[in-house]
Amino acid sequence: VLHEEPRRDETAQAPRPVPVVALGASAGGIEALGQFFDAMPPDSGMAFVAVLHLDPTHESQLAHILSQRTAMPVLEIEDGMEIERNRVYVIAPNASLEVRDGHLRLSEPQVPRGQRRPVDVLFASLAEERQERAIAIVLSGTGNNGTHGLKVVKGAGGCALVQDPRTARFDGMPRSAIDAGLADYVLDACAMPEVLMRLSRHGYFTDPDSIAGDEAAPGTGIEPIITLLRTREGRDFRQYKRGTLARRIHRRMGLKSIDAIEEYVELLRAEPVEAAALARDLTITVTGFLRDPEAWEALVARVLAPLAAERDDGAPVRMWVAGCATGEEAYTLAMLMTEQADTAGKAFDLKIFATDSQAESLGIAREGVYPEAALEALGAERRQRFFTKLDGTYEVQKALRELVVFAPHDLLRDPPFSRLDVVTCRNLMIYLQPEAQKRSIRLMHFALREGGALFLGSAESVGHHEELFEPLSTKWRVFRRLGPTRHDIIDFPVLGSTRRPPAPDGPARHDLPQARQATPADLVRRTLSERFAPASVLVDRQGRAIYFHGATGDFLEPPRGEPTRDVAAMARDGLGARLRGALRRAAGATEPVTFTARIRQGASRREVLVTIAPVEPGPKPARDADRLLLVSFQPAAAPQADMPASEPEAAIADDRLMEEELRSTRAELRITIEQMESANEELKAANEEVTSMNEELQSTNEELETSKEELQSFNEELHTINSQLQYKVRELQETTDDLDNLLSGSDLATLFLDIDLCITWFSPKSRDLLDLLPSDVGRPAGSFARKVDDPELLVDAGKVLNTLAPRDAEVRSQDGRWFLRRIQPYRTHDSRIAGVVITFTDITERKAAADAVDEARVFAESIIGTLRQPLLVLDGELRVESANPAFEEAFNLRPEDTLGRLVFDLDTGAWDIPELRQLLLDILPRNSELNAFAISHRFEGRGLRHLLLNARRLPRRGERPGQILLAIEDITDRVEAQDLREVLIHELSHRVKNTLATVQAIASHSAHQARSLDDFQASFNGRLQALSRAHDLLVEAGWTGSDIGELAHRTLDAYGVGERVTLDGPPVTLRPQAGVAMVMILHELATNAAKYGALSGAEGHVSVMWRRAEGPGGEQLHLDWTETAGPRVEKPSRRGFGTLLVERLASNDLHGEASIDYDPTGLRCTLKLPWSANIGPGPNNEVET
Amino acid sequence: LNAEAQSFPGLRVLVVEDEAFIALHVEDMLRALSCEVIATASTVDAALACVRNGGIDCALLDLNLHGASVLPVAEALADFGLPFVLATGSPRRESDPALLLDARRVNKPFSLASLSAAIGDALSRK
Repeated sequence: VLHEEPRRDETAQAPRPVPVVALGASAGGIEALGQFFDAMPPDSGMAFVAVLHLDPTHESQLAHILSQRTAMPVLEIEDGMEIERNRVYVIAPNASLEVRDGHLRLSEPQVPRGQRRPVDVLFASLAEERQERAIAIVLSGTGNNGTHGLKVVKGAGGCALVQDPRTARFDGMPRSAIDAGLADYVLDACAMPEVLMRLSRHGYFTDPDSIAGDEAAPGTGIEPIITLLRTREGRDFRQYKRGTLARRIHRRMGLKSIDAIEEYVELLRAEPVEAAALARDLTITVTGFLRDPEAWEALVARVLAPLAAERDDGAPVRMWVAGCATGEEAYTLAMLMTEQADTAGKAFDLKIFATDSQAESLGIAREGVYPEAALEALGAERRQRFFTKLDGTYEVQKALRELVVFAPHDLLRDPPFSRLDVVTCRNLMIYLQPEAQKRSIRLMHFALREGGALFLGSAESVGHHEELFEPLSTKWRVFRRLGPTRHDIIDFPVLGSTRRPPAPDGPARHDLPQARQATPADLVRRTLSERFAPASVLVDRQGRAIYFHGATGDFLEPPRGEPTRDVAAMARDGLGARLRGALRRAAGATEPVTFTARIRQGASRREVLVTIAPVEPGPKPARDADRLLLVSFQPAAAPQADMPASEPEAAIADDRLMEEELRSTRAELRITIEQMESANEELKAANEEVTSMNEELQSTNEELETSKEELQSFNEELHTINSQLQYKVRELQETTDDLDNLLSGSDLATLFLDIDLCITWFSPKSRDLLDLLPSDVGRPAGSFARKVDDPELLVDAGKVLNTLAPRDAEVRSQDGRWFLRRIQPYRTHDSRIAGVVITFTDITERKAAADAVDEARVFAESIIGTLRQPLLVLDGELRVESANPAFEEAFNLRPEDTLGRLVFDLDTGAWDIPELRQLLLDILPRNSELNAFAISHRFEGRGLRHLLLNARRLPRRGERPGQILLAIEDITDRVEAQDLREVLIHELSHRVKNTLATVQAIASHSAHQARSLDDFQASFNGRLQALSRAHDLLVEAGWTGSDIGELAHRTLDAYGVGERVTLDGPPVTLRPQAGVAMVMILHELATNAAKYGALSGAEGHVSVMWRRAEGPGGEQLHLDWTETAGPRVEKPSRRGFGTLLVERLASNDLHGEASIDYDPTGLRCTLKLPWSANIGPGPNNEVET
Repeated sequence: LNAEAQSFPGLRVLVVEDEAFIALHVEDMLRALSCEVIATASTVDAALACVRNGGIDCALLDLNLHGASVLPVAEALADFGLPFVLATGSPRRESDPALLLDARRVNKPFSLASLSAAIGDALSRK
């Protein structure tokens, strides 16, 4: 038995911790929790922690649901919450919940979904935290979650309430807990609060520390209970630690709401069930497979492995698991030894004796069926090898099972096994008083073979018996037996026994006297007693012979008839009656009883002294029932052949008479006994029959049980299927509702026709289009008046049935609305065509909208077409969608040259303009519009054009990028006019200033030359007028150039052109500068002629002739000024300003030369001017470039 | 003549002017300042030829020679490190080259004093 001493929290907890009630449930748990909380007063002072199997993927509504059933606050647990009174805590989904230090701890579950046992986890943590104060409740649920946890709770001294399986919706969890013997109460959920309230007030729960652990005054007042258990239940707890016993007894008292020990003793007397429950509680066991794996490893390494190596193949190996509880440890040992044998390649005759005093535990152990959780420590490999998986549980395989022999055995009372290789006795002795512990150790020593190993629990040791054992592993409590077997140190507690346990199903119990070997002392004693002691018989109180010593034949003889052990019946004549009376006396006395009797043997008579002495079987005074008597016979004198005379005949005759009577009475008795025995035989036979019938009934019952289980599982499956179906039905109902709502609620007029075009269903809206009544379902669709102009409806429906292709048509109703009528085949889920579906979609508005769109498009196109400004519509990829006539005209492109082309490709790349690229690819994508973007570009054949661009990006249309409107304004003319203006202004300034400078120069020189003020005035005015005239001409000609003839005519007109002045030459246009210079030259020459030359007199004549001539540097303009018939010319002594001016004008302004010939007949002046520098088509605008 | 005007005895000056009247007048003014007019050019080519021929200390340039800019001449003068004065009737234009913008100007019509000051200034800048 892995009895576990509960850990005690020594620190006094103040203030007193909140009592915590843990509730575990699964399927059907919400209902049970609701019932529980309905009945629970809100001010109980307790805290409630509820754990359910929740769907980890869904948010839990549990808190909400429970809060409707109790006035206490219901909280969904968050990690680290402190537990407070009068509150209900419910687990969150997908979490593992534990209680630690008065707080609730949530953690991620370690095991995969489906293997989680949250209830076990919670219960175990609560048990560790609260020990005796832990209260756990198992409610409705399937499986066995919670059972293990309850075991821990009970092991710690806590209390377990289980819902009555009859009221639980699912009884798996409650039944599992009850079957494991763990339920303190089995109640309806609504009855639990009352019990809890009672418990919470009991001293055991409010102040367990005051009871427990007081070793100084152990178990005050519990002795009567121990005695009672020994006598009633045959369970001897005298050797157990009083503290532990007291705690557990008080726990039972708590459960029964009893405060006084005396009261409880009364209850135990009155209710045997309670006594049994107490006995079970006192030996609550906590065990497990491979518990403390490291300890087992030590055992394997130090003991099992060497054993397997040393022992011969096929040799016996014997082990004993003392206190095996529910068998886990025994099976663990069997598994480990089997593995070691395999490793060594041997097969041993392995026998493991597993004993426990608890018959219930042994029952579980023999069955060998364990929940999956219990096997976790073993690992998959061992599970696979040694176990067979049942439904949710594992069964020990036959091979392993047969290695272990389970037997009831009390270590403190029953004799041990012997010649064992290994004894394990873990966590059993910690419950025992020190004296009992020592005796146990000695017993183990006796039981082991030489060198055998002892395996104890981690808190146990061999105590003072170091001479008996040496440690193999101090830490893990593995010991080896030292020395030879020592009988002297053990005393079998056989004689203290009040009940002989049935023989184990293992080896026969040892016959103790024979097991002993004779010691010298025994030998001496035996010899002496045989030689000198009187013949004696050891009898029990009833006078039945137990042991014959010496020659008793003189005093006793086997009686006739049935063999008997009755010593009085064996007595020879004359002794029997007195012996019987003396035995009766001796049984009640403490002193020996002595009497003398005369034995009659044939004719002789012998005196005999009979002494009956009480014998104490043990060192202590035995109870009366256990006392034995030693009857000794001593011959008082030699046998007498004759009866002494002193013997009165009468007395002898009386004796005979009495004995005769006795004999006949006995004979009668014998007959009666025989009759009784035959009746007994008959009864036995009847019993046999009953037994066999019983067996049959049992097997029938088992069959029924099996059938019931099958039915149960069948039922569960049906239950599952039913709920699935219900769910499906609900889903279908919802889908139907959805569809109904969808079809009825939509504006869609829908008709279902079958193959024969009869109506199977129509939506309410259909009645706007067809004259339908609900009762018309099933009638042919053609038989109804239509409110829609659709003569092709049935024809199209027929076509759809034939072709299976949907057909659309736009139809108009009588009230002027438009509908899209669509006919589709009606396909069933298996793709069969069951008719057609006709829908009428109202498209009146859509149609109107489409018309509006059309109008808008025409409108927009008209605007574009009307615009005088060139306009391009580009699509998102910058291809021309359309170009207006103005564009085509302005850039001389035909529609086929533009449509669909990339804008940069237009006019063979003429539009591939970097600025345009920048505009369209870079700027426009970021701005939706752009105004007055100026670009200048030299177009092939059209010269430099200045363009002003306006661009708009239209909003996106679905996936396609929006269109771009590109308006192009050719502002070349405007730009050029602007440029010209600027040039002219500049030129004007230049000219004005230059003219002023010229005037300055003229004034200066005229002043220099003038002989008088009048003279100055005349020459200055003349020159100024000439200059002015020249400018007039220039302005008249638009500042482009002037004809030389015209210039000469104007300049010389005052001197009589055509009369005294002759002009002759081809038309030649002089550049403006050249024109001015020419006017000034002609003016100077004319002034000179009027003053001194041909025009000064009345006769003279001037000829001006010009022509184009070849010169040395290219073409030249030659102009000859020839004066004739004037006064005689003399070369002036001083060169005049006029001459200088003419020469300088010719050279400076006209880049040519002037030669003046003072011919006496008339002055001649010849100008030779380069043609190209002076003659041109017009003004050259390119100033300063 | 203005008595206040500074004279530059022996300063050899190139006159670049396309209008004969003005050229004559300027020559007179320069002579009045004791300068020696080395040549008068009316075209860019002629002026460049004069510059290359050397023998000048300073130049008086009309900005606009029959519509052609005098810039090449100014550049040639700058290359030779010779000072020059721009005589112009046009207002400054920001679009003009820096060389012309920075040059000493005298606005037509100008007086002897302002011509003298401009020449003095141009020479001192050297």
